[in-house]
Amino acid sequence: MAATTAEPVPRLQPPEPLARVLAQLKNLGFGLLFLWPSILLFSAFVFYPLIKSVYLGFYESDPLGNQGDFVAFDQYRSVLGGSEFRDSLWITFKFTLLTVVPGIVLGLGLAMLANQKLPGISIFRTIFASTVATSVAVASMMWLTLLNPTTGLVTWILDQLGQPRLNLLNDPDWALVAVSLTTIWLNLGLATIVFLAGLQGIPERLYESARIDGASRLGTFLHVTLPMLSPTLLFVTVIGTILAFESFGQIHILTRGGPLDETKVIVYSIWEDAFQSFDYGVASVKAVGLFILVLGLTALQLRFLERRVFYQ
Amino acid sequence: MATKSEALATRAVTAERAVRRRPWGRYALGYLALILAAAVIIMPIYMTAVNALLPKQAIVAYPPKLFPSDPQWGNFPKALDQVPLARYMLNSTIQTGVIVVGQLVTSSLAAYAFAFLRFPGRGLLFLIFLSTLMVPLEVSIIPNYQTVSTMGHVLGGHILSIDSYQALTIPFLATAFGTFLLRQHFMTIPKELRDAAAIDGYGHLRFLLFVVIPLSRPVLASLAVFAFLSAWNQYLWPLLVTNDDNMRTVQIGLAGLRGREIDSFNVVMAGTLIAAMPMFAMLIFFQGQLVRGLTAGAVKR
Amino acid sequence: MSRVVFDRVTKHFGEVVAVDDLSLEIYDKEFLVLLGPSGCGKSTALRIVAGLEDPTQGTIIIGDRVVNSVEAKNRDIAMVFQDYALYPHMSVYDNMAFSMRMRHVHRRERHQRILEAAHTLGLDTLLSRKPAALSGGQRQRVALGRAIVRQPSVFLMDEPLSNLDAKLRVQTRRELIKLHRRLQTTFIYVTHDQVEAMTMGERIAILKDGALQQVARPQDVYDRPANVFVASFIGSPAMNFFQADLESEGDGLVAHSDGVEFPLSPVQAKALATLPTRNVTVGIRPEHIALGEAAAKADHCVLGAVVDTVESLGAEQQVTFSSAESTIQARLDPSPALREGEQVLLMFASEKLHFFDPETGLRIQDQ
Repeated sequence: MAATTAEPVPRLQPPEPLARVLAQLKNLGFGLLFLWPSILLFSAFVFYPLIKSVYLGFYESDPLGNQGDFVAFDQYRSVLGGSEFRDSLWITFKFTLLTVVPGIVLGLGLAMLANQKLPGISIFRTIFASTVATSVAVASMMWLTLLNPTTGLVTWILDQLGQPRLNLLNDPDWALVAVSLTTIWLNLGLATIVFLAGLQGIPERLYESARIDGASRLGTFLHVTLPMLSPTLLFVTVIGTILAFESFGQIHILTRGGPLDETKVIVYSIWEDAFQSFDYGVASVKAVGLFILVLGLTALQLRFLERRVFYQ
Repeated sequence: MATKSEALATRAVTAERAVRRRPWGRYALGYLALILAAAVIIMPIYMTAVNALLPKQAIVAYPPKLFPSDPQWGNFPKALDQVPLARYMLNSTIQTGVIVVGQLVTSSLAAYAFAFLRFPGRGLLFLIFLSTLMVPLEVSIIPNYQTVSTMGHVLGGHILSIDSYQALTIPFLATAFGTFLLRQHFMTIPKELRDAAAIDGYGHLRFLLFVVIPLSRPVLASLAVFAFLSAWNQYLWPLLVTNDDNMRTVQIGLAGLRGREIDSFNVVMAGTLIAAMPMFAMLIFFQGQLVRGLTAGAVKR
Repeated sequence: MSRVVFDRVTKHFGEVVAVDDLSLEIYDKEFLVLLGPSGCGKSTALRIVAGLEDPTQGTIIIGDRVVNSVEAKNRDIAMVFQDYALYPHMSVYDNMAFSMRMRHVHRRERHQRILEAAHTLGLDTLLSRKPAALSGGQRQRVALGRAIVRQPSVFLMDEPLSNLDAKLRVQTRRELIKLHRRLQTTFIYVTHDQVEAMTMGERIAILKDGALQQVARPQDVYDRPANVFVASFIGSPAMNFFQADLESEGDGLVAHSDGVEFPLSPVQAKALATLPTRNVTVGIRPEHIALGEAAAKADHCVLGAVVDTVESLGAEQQVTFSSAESTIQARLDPSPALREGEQVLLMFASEKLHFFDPETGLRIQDQ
């Protein structure tokens, strides 16, 4: 081959500034084309309502539900500082504790049971996960039977254990527990599924290593299983708390907030104010309060708990 | 060396010992725990089924009957008769169907934009999308309700109104969770495919429809199952926007059984079972996709 | 005493036989390598020693006790896994301390052992880091450190170098040899890499399909492979094989393969005379082949061949030849540089030939 002459290699011209801007605009155009449905829907049904709720809180509502006087932050102060809100806050807090903590413990326990390598284990897995298919309404109706004061299975069991026939749903001391029980059962399927997935993500080698190192069953659980599950635990705790704070259906069906308002969680209280009493102003204030509360609680949980979570 | 004879001796001793270090006891214990747990979990469903099959007198028995000696299968058609369950099912099906399809479409489009298109403000917009996950439904219900009822007076209520399928579905057609999930998956599609498609003359829409979507079937299936589950089980919103019994969804209709004049409790239980059937069927047939959809969120969080 | 004995150990996984009647004694303080292709059962055998698997049949002896029913943690062994299996949420220090904590070793003693091991392995500055913040080579050393602090009687290693890059692998190989010398403990090392086996093992045990093929010192495995499998597994490129017929010629025997005559020495002839059939498998290693001249040297075979491909490696050229019906691989001096299509004469000494029974593949005795 003849030697090449010393010709400079032709350089590619960089695109003109105008061409570049046009390309970006084109992308923007497509982007908006693909995004406008979501943007429109979110604006109309998420962001607008958020602002509107805050706005509604500034106005007192008259008994017919029409917008009344402008009271600015007074209504916020009176409602959020008021005893009614505080009570429902306390009840919601109790409810959350009663459902999230047992939910995690039981869910993890079931997942560990379902993680054994035994023949036929998949049947058990399906059974444990089955409550994920029950809705709030279905679960509530089912537990209505169990909690029935005259014929319910739960009532009968308690009777055997020495507690005379308790009308759980009508007893101010026990109603919240009864509703919590229903909720725990309802969420058990989901918890089991999530924890099982988490457990299966733990490499077998780590268990083998621990076995050789001489860890006991408890030691392995504390030093291998729990740390490796920490992201899942965080997820379940955060999501569980949020869902608990937003519970409504089971209270509506089982107790209607009673007896004596002992099961009136925040959302129920909001619903009652807005759609039974037509007091939109107060209800909106509570809704905004709930929003900030959930946001704050989640942020707190993430801040304090994420430190102890280990990610791979 | 002494070792050879030692080895022989020890071998003789241990020869017959079947080395099973996992004793019978552990197996039995494991199964026992499983059966116990399963029994407790299934109990509500089981009791509902039992009660659904009991004759009227038997349901007030105490201690409660654990097995129907005289199964009243007729309770099921009775339930369908006395309660417009079929209508409720239809409503729920339409509501859920539209929501699922809607979510799949909007989140596919949105995820595509976030994954493949580069435009100014993309990052910020995505964060804004994600922020919608932080806004609970309860905060928006009052204004949304007002929107729906106001729109009922606009254009004859055809766009949106109380007691309409539109009201049940439109607010939920977009999903940040779905967008997030799909975007994660879309980002794993190799750049070479995009380049090849571009060379072949595929525009964005074609690329999305003929390459991206087919490659994302499992994720789409998981999202569909997840969306189905949450839409079918909705309670608060359908409660608000349906007054007419004809428009009620299964969940609301079910809750309403309490106040109705129904023959008796066993029929109510039969109705409950019927209402629960679709979801259980979904669990059995689509367990894989369901689990994947649920855990996808857990892993990414 | 930390010898390990496999006494007729068999392991079934359902239908599959992973380990097939393995009998092998590993001496105290020895560095023994279990070598074989993937799926040959070497890892399973190692796991049986560790106590992670139970043998279907047979006995495992560590030291002077039968350990079949002894828990892994009580066998006084330590294991280094291929993917290190470090506890991801613990620091290097805690990783190394874990097993000692489980055994309630006193804190001061723990600390002492960790510092010593860390120093030996060059981990002193990394003790507070978590595994995610370490490179592959560092993680590997932590895995080693975790094993060392246990002061076990036997070290078990399952392909510990395979996740390292080539250069690091060579370096770590040497460090492992030095470590073995320092610790004076039995090492059982599993690998599929014959270079690792040859350079590190005091003896190599070669497995195929769960059965022991040969156990011997590296040089012996190279010079006197027990069967065709071992002969082709050790050495790279692999040994060349020919099928040959035996014919009497003059005083001795000659082996004939297309176009080649392998004159046999009296010793070889004697060994081969006992064969029932008159054919034999002949092997010659690529490194023992050289370019020949027309005037054949005594006791050498000469063979005509055509160059197929040449891979030049600087210090040598690896050439593939085709001759009659066979392909021959040879490692030759870099010059003269050969070219594709060239016709050459190849030459190899008959004392370098290996003979195997064509039916059984076994080496013919007394060659």
